[in-house]
Amino acid sequence: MNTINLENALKIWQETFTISNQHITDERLYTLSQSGGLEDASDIELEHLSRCPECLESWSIVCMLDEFNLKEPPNQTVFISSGYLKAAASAKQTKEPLNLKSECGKFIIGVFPDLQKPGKGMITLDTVGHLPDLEKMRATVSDAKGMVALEKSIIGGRAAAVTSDMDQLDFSKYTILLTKNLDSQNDD
Amino acid sequence: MMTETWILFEDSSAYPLICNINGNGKNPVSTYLISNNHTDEFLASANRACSLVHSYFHSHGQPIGNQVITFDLLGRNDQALLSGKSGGLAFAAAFACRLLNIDSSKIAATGVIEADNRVTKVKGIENKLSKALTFLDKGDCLFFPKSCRPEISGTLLSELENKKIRLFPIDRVSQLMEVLLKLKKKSADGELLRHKPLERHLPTCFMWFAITIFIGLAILSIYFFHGQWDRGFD
Repeated sequence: MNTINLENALKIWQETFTISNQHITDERLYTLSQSGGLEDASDIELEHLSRCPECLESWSIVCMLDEFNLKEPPNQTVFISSGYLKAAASAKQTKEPLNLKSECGKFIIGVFPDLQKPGKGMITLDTVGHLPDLEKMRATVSDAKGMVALEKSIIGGRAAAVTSDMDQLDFSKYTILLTKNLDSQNDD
Repeated sequence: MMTETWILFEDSSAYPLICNINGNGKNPVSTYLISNNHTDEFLASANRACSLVHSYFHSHGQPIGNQVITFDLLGRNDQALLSGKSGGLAFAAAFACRLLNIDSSKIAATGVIEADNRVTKVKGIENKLSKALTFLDKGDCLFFPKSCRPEISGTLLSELENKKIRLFPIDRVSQLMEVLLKLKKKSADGELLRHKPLERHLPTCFMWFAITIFIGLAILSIYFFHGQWDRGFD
């Protein structure tokens, strides 16, 4: 087990810093867009893709939309979607309730700031319609700055989290990453 | 401070339910559980409970708008699976307390809520009430299904009563609401007494002030007229 000291902490910081700044190359994005490509992606690439709207947008352009077709049960371990705040482009700060439908049309993100407690609020994620393949998958919703707004398991087609960082969240762009939930697999 | 509502489990565990609400939902009631590890049935019981509380307000002429509700179990380990339907009554109590902003004693509740507003039997009532006995204090409220009463041992009942815990065996959600509305009234009165003594006593103060002025004026006028009478009026 790694002990936490200044050297290790700096190393972790350096890795994190690299992730947030180093974009995925076009060649690599193309490879990742191929069938099963995401399964070969490294953790760092997945992390970056899930938190970087620019790379995700490029990746989604390269990908064919039919890769997202959920009518057939996907065997892939990862599903990614994204979206934009289409209303008032200047409304980056979340001071009013929002309902955001993802580009793929499969998810709705609800943002509900608590007007009486500034900075606090609820983030919800709903699947549109009955999508049993997504049940028990772990959903991570990140904002335009890569800040994780929600990281929960989807149960009954929904997930939710409460946050104290509502003021800092920027949903002008956002990503939704779904991964298989190892915890739920262990339950059986 | 808000009323703390506790949910009771068959394995003799109990947790405070943290309920957050927001009145900007798209549907009348959208219920979410913050926990990562619960069954559909558990979530459905929460949703049903909140829907019935929502309907209660609506049918009593106090519509509360479209509510987004999240529940979290404080201190619950995510590894343990949350299942069953007996949490329904606790969810209903937590949501109603949050809506009514009740500032009262602790509440613990267990009961399956059916779609037709009935509160029905739960498993392990003895374990659940025994656990409630450990954290509820004098004046706190304990709600459970009326149909479970014969299963509760006399010893446990007398222990609960000796501790002056208020027991509410109920068979309908509306009964829970009636008790909570009474608590709301009491807590509002209490708040007035505790936080607004001046406003509370203002009418009395005004009355005494008016009486003093009246008596003063009466004395002055008697003195004046008496003096005038002695001196004559011409």
